[in-house]
Parts: sequence; structure tokens; C-alpha cells
Amino acid sequence: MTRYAFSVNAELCIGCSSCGMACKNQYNLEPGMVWRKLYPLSEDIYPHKDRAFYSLACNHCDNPACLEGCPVGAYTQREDGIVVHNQDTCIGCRNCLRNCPFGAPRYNEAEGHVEKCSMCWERIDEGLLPACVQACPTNALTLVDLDTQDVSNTVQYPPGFPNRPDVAPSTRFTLPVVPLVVRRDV
Amino acid sequence: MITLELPLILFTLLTQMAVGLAVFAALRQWVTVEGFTLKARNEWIIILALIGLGVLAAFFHLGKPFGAIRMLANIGTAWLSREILTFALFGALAAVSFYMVYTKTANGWVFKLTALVGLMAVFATGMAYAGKAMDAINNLLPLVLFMLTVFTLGPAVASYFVDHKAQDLLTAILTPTLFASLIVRFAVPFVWLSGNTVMRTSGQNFITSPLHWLHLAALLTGLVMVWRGKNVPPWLPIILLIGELLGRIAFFALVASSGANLGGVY
Repeated sequence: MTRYAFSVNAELCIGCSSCGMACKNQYNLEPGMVWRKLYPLSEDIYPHKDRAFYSLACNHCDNPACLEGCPVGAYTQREDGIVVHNQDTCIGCRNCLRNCPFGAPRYNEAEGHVEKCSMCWERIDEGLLPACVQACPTNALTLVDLDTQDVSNTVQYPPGFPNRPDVAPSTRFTLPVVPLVVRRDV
Repeated sequence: MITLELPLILFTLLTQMAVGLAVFAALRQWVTVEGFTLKARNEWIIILALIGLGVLAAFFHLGKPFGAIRMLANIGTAWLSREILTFALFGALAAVSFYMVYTKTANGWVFKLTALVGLMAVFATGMAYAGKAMDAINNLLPLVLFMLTVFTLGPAVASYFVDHKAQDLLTAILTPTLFASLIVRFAVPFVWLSGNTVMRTSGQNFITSPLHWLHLAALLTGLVMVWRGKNVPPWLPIILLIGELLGRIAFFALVASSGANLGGVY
């Protein structure tokens, strides 16, 4: 079996937004629409002058709240864990926006339907990486298989991310290392 | 970010008012055996009009209104599908009730069944709006708040359709409901302050919002008037309706979503 997931390494991420731009290019998203976005960690979590980021899109949960709550069945989950949203079936009721704890589904006002990251399942089926993963210049964003790869050195619910085991998000995180600050007595 | 979900505000408020009226129509028929008065017929016309207006408003919420019929597709897991199904049943039963009152062939069991299905629809609404993204209301609280609306607006608006004998029944139910509503709605935002960041944000949004306090003021006005006067003055249902409207706007606009705090402390 295969269980695909995104792995976000906040130590390697430099906040260049290449992932989000690649996603927009891949799907020709409307202006203002984002499926993947960078979230800077607050200073309470990462107290340093440099900033650290989480690159987040849909977390393709084990128990997707969007799928459970969708009245028209616009969401499906593949055997490899990818949660796919069918825009043609969606009627734009936005119930998924109320249900996703991670704010992944976005409403497209012009088209009257919801949109979200599909983990580029069409590319994966062709043996390619998701566009965001391929575009990341520092390998901060990678695609992992939770069933076969060792992810024991990663975190599922890091600070700055909702702790929601009820939906069980698949994304795994590597936390940023706070730089060592050496203070000299004057 | 504050978003004014006007279609959903109107849908939930108008349909809950209709359920409240249906419940008290059934209750009065049961307790006081009113008979087929002209007022009773008008009451069912109002109930049907409220359901119709509420459903019409809900269509304006949808991005693709012509696909609305597909909302019954996921009854197995989606409370929103169950909400639509139960409200469709409630609307059909309300139409049957009106027909029976109109033709003076009413059977009390039809009224009771209509009221019961209406309450089931409100139950489904309460579950549908317990969004998992909203920590503050990802529980039974929406159900409690919606039921309080049903049992506030139901007897209040029903006062236009009853004779003075039934006023005692209305005030006997409206007084404790207004008291409970005041206590619950006053306490809840302060309880949220003891929760996580997202719940605290919701609590602070409510406590600093005039919408919330005006809602409570309307409930307090209602409680004092009904308690002291032992009847429902004609202007009071309008005050309570405005109060519930403000409270519903607050419910949709001020409850924070956990997705809005990504990168922050939870």
C-alpha cells in the first residue's frame, strides 16, 4: 500500500513561495486564489529575528472533515490517501470551509465552487512529483509515503498547527532549529 | 475576518421561527383544543411563508443554486443533507397541516408530527453548523442556541394568533426560555475565554461586539415584560426578532476559525 503525504521541513524553508507559485501555474488559478500558502511562525513559537515558515495546502487527512460534511459528495479519497475535490459536482455551499480545521478549501466566487489542493494526483499517476514539491529549491517540501518511509523524526502536530487527531492530517513537519545566540558580557 | 452570511442568517432564523410556531400550534391544539379559527389558518399561512422565504434565501448562499437538489446525495454522513431532507419533510407536513385546518378536517396527530419533524430539522441544523473548523462551536452549542431561538420566537410570534386564554401557556413557556437564553448566551463567550487561542478569539469577538449585547438587551427586555405583565405585548415579538437577528449575525460573523491562526499559538 501507499499513503502519500507532504513533508514540510521548516528548517530548510526560506520562504521563497516557489511552491505556491508553481501550484498556481499548474492549475491556472484565478488571481487571488491560492491552494498552497506560506505561514510565518509567530515569534511566540520561533523567537528569533529570522523567520521560519510552514508551507501549507490541503493535508489530505485520514478522516477528512470536508468529505464527511459535503452534502453533494464532491469529495472522494483515493486508496493512496489523496483527498480529491470534484469542482463540477460542487455547488458552492461552503460547508467544507466550516469543517476543515486547516482552512484548506477556498471558495472561488467567480466560478461558484470550492477549490483545493489535489496533491497533483494526475502528475503522481504519471510518475511525476506534485508541482509544489518539484519547484521547491531547498527540498523543504517533499512527498513521502507514510507506509514505506521512515518519518519517525518528523512531527504531525507541531506548534502553529491545529492539534486535531480526530481528522488526522497526513502532513509531517520538521521543526526549525532556533539559532544559538552567544551573548558576551561587556 | 467578518463575513455577513445573510442568506444563511435568514434561512436559519426564518425556518426556526416557523418550527417554533408549528410547535406551539401543536401544543395549543393539544392543551387548549382551540378548534379551527381564522387565526389558526393564518398562523399556518405564516408558517408556510416563513419556510418558503427561508428556503429561497438559502438558494442565494449557493454558488450553483440549480444544483441544490444534489444536496440530498450524502445523507449517510453529512448533517447538511439531513437538514435539507428534514426541512423538506417539515415543509410538506406544514402544507398538509394548513390544508387540514383550511378544510376543517385536522387531526391533532398531524400537527404533532409536523412539530416533531420541525424539531428534528432544527436538530440537524444544529449539527450541521457545529463546524469542525470552529473550536468554539464544534459541539452541541449550536443546537442549544438554535433550540432557544425556536422556543423564544415560537411563543412570541404565536401571541399574534392566540386568544387571551392561551396567553398563560405562552408566557409559561416564554419566561423560562428567555431566562435560560439570557444565562446561556451571557455565559458562553466568557467560557470561551478559558479555551484555546481560537476559542478565546471567539469569546473576545463576542464580548466586544455591540451585536451580542444588543441581543442580550432584547432578551432581557422580553423577560422583564413577560414576567411582570404575564402576557406578550404586541411589540415584543418584533423586539425579540430583531434581537435574534442580531445574535444570528454575531453567530455567523464572530466565531473564529482555527484555519485563520495557522503559524500562531493554538
